[in-house]
Amino acid sequence: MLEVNFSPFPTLVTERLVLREMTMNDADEAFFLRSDAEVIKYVDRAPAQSIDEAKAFIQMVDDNRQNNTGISWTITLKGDDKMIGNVALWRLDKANYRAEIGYVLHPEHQGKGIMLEATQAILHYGFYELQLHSVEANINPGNMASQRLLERAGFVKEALFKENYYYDGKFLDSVIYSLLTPKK
Amino acid sequence: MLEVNFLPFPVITTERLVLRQAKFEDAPEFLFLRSDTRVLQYIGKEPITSLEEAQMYVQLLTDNLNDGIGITWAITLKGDDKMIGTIALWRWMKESCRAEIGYVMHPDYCGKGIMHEAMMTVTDHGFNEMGLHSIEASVNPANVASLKVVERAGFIKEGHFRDRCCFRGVFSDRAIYSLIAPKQR
Repeated sequence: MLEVNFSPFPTLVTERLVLREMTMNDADEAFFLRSDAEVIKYVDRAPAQSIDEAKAFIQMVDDNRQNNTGISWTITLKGDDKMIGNVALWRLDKANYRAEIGYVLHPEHQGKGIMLEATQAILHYGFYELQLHSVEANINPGNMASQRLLERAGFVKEALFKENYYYDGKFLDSVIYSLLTPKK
Repeated sequence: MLEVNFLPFPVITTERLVLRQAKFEDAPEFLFLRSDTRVLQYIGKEPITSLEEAQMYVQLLTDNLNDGIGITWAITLKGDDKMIGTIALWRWMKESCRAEIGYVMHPDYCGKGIMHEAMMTVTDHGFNEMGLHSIEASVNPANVASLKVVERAGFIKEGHFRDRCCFRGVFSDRAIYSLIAPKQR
């Protein structure tokens, strides 16, 4: 069984980014990322209605970290502490050494390889520090940007589930990608 | 959101079978099903070793039933109350009206279409009585008998997860099948 410990918080630094712990000071940015129509187009979850909902989300992220059930990083550009997105390893399946990756990025910063840089940093952390064996991603089949990102990061499409997810009055399909540890 | 209530327990009768609630008197059969190497071969669970553990397992199934977490039917032949296998709807994703089906059978009774008969009636019950929209099955691709059961029941293979499960340090793949509810008329 996988054992993890997310305390102290593992801040990750890449060429252009600092991936740090999420704090209540990120509430405005978190609210935008969880309510903006363009950002959540393929997230298939009800948009946040208030800053308080964003704060509840930040609290849940912290609870998950303290319970060692998942970890989420706030993405910032080096030299600017403002949150521009977040990336997470969650739904930890400890018996099977597996986790799910999730990510979201402010539209102004998309198309610059920032999410790929962030994703590669947390995958490296997941495989080499956490000792995960596999990471999966669950996306809306229409989300081409997400699909491109996963393929660039080396993920392989393993499933297309028909009508397995209900949101907003419709049953939607899901595509599942996965990446196995490079440590084999 | 799907509202789930498994009580009163839905006993189901088919041509040859009675699917009933598991009870403490089934503990010896549970001990067999959860310790026999042929049964456990593809399941990836440690065998249980005592009647006491089997009784604790029956208690867990009862708790899951009462709490609306999952439902397991004991499979019996008509006229003989002895449990020969189980079939379950578990891992309910209530927001998405989806559940997973799991099943296990005493080797003496395999190859007679019994699990097929149980699966047809349980999937039908899941769709028509419980409001499910889809049912998923996760099968070790090496388990040919299990693949046959789901395929014969009309399940479609939708995915193949590499190294999905770990048992005693060894990873194995899982084929994921699903069956969608027949269209409402």
